[in-house]
Amino acid sequence: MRQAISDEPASKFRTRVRAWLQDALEGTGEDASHDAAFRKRWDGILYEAGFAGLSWPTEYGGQGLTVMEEYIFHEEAARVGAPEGYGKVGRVLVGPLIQKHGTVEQRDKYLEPILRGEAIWCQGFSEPDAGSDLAHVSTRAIRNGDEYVLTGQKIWTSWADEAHYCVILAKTDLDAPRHRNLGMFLMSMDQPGIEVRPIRRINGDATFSEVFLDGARVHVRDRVGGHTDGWSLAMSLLSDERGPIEAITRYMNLRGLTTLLESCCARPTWDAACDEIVARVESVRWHALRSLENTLSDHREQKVDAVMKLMWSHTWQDLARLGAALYCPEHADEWNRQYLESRAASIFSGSTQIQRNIVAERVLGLPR
Amino acid sequence: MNAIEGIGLNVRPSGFVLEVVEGMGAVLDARVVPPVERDSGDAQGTWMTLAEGGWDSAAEDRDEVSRRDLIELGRIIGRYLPGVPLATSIVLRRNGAVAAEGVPLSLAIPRRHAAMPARVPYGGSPGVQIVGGNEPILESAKEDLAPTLPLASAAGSVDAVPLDVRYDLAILFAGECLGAAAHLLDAAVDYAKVREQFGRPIGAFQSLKHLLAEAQTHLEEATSAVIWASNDEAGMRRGLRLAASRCMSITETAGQVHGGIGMTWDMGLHFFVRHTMVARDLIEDLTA
Repeated sequence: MRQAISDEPASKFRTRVRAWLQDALEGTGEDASHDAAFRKRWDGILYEAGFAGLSWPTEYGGQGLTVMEEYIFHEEAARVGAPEGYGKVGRVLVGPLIQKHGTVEQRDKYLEPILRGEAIWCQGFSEPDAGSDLAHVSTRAIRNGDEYVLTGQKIWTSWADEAHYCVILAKTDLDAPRHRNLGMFLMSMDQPGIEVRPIRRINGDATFSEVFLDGARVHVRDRVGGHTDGWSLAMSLLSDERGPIEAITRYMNLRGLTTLLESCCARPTWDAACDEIVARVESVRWHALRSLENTLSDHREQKVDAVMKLMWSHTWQDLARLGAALYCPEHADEWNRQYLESRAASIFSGSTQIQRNIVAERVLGLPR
Repeated sequence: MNAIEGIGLNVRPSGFVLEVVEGMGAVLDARVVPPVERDSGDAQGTWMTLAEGGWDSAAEDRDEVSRRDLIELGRIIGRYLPGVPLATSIVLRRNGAVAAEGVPLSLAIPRRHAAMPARVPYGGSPGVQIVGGNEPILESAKEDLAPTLPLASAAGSVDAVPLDVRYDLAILFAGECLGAAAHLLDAAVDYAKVREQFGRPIGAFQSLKHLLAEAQTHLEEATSAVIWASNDEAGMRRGLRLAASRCMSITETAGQVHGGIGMTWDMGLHFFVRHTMVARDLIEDLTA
């Protein structure tokens, strides 16, 4: 998929990104990453500057570069506290899904608006009775002429209150067995029959929601793959969610926290536990680099990728737990916030228990 | 070299070292008996075969074999634990030791607490030549917590070890820890697939699956930590300490999965535990 439009070496690319970020963030202060209005504009700003869709092919509005440039950009962006745009679900999940499995019409319609920051997406997978057992979704998508009619409930849907579209998994065949009864759809959120109720999280914010569907409609041309291809598409999408770029973004956040740890935990309170957590944070980076280099050389190593989310999520939790237990008065608020926020890390994107099942069965080959 | 373009990092091993590992692995596989049967083995013969094959010079060419590549050499040694001065010979020859071909080499490693005598890995092994400064007098009393990594004490003061030698050897010993841990994890997984309780393989129980999955996660995390240290001296002490600690926890899991049989001398898991314990302690001295 590499279509280098320039022979610019990576070091030059990094210099260019760094200079551009400095200009783009000038005057925004340290709160750029928390400023909702600025965050909403951020994807569009990236697009105008030619930094959106770095590893997407040029025919879809991307820059035709590789995950290496994605990595460098994310590292530089996190270094200076650049915001995360609202289009993450579109950029990381829906874009790659449509590129791999979408129709020409779907690519034309959906891909470029994602990069332009004009289309915010949410992911309608989890349900009250289908969490770790995702295949158990009970939202129905009943075919009616050229349309599907959707009824049911989704939950833990990040960005749902802002989203223009939802990539949604629903039961299309009520009689077929598990894993062969689901369809995947690109659903407009701007229609009757959809109600979004934000849920307040333990850290106080409300970035995810319940989504109630009562007769929402999706045209058949907005189905991805076949009538019952939803499960395999969902698995492909989830593996994108657990990739090296996500890990690098997490690493950069963790590294910021280790700086905080060092300031909180000046000697003589610095001890082996602090050393170990710093080493674990750096190991997240080197682990992501292993995965990245594998991606660049088309050399997949399941054993590397399968443990990546386990590594960063538990490193984050342990770091936040340690930081909060230092009782450092200057930074207590931040540690307490990190502690509460990190609790969800072993649940979202596949819980720790599901991840361990995957490692045990698919990497180690233990019996099911 | 396959440094990641533009970042200048050695993440993956070179093709060259992977070939070396394959060749060295074949020799070790043919020659080395499990540590528990070492009395019936022929360590001297193993050394001769390795030396004749030039495997003790495998990392001599620094352009071909980076410090990151040393991890792979350590890893294959750690899987077999031949009990001969291969790691020390590889590192000393790589760092320009003047010695006749085929002679096993070692060195005196000062303790991180200067008041204690320096230690010489494989100090009492047949024909071993101590490299660096005056040859220390070896005390007869040997520390032999790990029969596969025996230590002799050096009487009197010894010369400081050059930084490159210390760091190369620390990485290679860390690689041995990874290899030993990987060997024990493989053994535990294999055992969990065949050992039955309650009418089914114990590996089908989620409690054991998760224990082994966590060990696998720790093995990969430890590997990434050693890769960090091999690329960045800032990671040498912290990264290798994390890796060694993870390897120790993997050996604990392997023992737990084996149950009672894992606690026996004759099963032999403990040789890999002992080797990891001693290597870990030497790494502390080398990176102090």
